[in-house]
Amino acid sequence: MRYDVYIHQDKILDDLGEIFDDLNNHTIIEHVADDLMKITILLDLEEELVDLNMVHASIMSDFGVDTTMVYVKDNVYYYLSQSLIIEKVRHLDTAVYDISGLLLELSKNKNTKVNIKRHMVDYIGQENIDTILMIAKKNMNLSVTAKKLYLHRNSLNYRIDKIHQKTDVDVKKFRGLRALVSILE
Amino acid sequence: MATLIFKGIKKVYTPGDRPAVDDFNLQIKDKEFVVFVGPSGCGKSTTLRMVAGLEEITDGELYIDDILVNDMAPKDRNIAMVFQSYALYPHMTVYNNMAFGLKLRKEPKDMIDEKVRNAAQILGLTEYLERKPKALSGGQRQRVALGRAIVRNAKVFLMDEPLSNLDAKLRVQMRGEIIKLHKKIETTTIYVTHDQIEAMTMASRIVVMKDGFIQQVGAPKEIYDNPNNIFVGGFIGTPPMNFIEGKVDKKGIFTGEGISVKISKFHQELLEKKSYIDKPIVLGIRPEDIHDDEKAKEQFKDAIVKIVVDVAELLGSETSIYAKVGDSDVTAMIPARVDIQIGDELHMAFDMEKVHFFDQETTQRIK
Repeated sequence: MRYDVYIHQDKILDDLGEIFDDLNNHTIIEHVADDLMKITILLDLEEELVDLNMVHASIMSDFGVDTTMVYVKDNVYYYLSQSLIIEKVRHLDTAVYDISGLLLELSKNKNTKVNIKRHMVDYIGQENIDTILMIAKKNMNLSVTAKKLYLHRNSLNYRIDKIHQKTDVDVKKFRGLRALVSILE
Repeated sequence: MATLIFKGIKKVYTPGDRPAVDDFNLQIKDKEFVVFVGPSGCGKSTTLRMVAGLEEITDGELYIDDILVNDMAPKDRNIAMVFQSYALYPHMTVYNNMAFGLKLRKEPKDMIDEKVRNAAQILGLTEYLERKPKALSGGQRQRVALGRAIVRNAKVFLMDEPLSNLDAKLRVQMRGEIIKLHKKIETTTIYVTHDQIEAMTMASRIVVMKDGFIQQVGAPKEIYDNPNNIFVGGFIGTPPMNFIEGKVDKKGIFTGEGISVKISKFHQELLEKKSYIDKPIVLGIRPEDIHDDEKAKEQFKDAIVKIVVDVAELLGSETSIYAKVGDSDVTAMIPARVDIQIGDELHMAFDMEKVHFFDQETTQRIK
């Protein structure tokens, strides 16, 4: 698994690479377009780099520009194409988006939403989709959700963990659940 | 170090929408520590971002050291920013974090080293220079972020809610450190916060904002003692100012729901002069200007008000009383007392010298 950061900034893209120079051979820096850079980071560095809000603020402080940053783990490419991320990142507000934030933005376009939903159903299966929607319907009350799905509470937890592993979205958190439901509903 | 002049600054994000900032006029003197304060969405961060060059100015002029900077690139403005999210690169050491901005500017290595070590000393970070941000506490991280601003030798520091990520105790400590730092390096600073305590304790001048407009500019004490309008009176001060609606008659008696008090001669003359007699007005009084001691009751014997206690909180050195006067909620801060119970009826004296009167319609202070 790897960890991709997409950075959209049209003025100082070349210089931004310097930030990640310290990581040497742990990163692959690609100029996807004139205004877009993709930095691939090995997963064992994820813990250190997870707070991209700090990097975002640092870029603002050092370069005097605001950027749009999207970061995803590579498992999301099973239901979300890289080309879609690249197309979308240019139209987002200047801020940092994780997968939940990105899905929420993508759900605003009906065609995109339908497309992602189709891929997600294929990828995680209808059973997991029903689980996500039931958690939302039951206001994130997992005990009630388990009862409604005729599952033991631990089985539900197992399913939720699987959904998390596959989609990188944690439906136990409101942000994550909101993001998936916005695509699936 | 620098002066800043805002002339009729306006920011509109979407044409046709209400401006995020409108008619913003302000002069900031060299070495000043100015705090923009107001509730969420009042335009304070937008104004700061316009100074930084992160947002375009829709209308008006912004001068830094008498140079018009509306169209100047952010990097040429020589401004340093400190944010709520610590501006740090998680994978770099403290030293490299502070040095990075200087390396970008192609400064010589020995110069960078000197500046970084100097800033580290000022901020007490010398022993942490080889650590990475994850091995630092929140307060230390924010100090590194401040260090990154210091090494730049910037003309202006912009701080956008830099203490909001810290816990209450650390926030108080960092507040003191930022004030000390400002005293030491004397860089002109604009500090944005929604926390009026930060504003009161740190600012040499406060700019109170609401709905994109400046409500009042002044020294903390001046704003506290003489709020321009009901919003400022209610926003600055903890607990906030009490407001009671009513009318003043020709004899100088203020009458509202559950209250009838004689106002001071000064206020009577003022209200007469401004034609507010028998017109709906709002009386504003700070919680500490409501007294229960006999001396005050004697002094303000024509301004005794009966209150019914909702809640009495003993805070140690003082007791805060939340009560009702007619339909209005009133808070009083009195010296510590343990004998006050919920539902008690108390007679309190209003210090009529210290009250303010506001126009009920415009909410402006009558002055």
